[in-house]
Amino acid sequence: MSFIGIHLEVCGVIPFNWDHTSLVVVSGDGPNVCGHALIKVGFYYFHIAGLASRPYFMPEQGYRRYLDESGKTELFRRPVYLPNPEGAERKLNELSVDPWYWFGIPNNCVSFVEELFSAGGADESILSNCPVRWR
Amino acid sequence: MKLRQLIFWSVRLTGSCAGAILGFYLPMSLMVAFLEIDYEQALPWLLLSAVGGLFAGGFAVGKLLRLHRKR
Repeated sequence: MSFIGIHLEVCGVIPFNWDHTSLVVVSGDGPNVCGHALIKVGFYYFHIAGLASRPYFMPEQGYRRYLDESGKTELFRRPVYLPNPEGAERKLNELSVDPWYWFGIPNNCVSFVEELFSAGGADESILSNCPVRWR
Repeated sequence: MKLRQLIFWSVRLTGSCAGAILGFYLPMSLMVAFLEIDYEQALPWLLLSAVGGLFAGGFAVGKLLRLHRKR
């Protein structure tokens, strides 16, 4: 199994820089033509990848390793302004505790990123749930 | 096309859709055994199962309707 990141074990240890938040979309594997969405906060990337597992995080070198090992390419990234970084931080800590259940159309990688954006006060969402169209 | 035929195919299509949804989501109940598996690795199998469910659902509903018509 390729590297997909590390679980966030202790809250508040890593100071996340929510002033530099971006949406990152990478290509999907196999039949997944919609790609995969991650959120970049400062130097760290967060995403959900398991069928029923807690969210993963990785630093920049971990992200490069993730792209290399899974044969993915970065499709695009764009900065997103979060007016309420404390809310986003709280939400991230809250989501990191429990497993995230992937249900296909609902509760997927996009919903995870959307929840963090929404908690941070950003009005960012995509109706089609297809991250490649979230430019 | 007769109304009766139209109803037959609509019901069959509904059965196919229900079969596809069941085919996709039922194997996900196995997720308790594979907690850490990447969803992108499971996706081809889930889609395959959904296609199987699509045909099985349509076939099952078609067969039920034919049995009902014979009575």
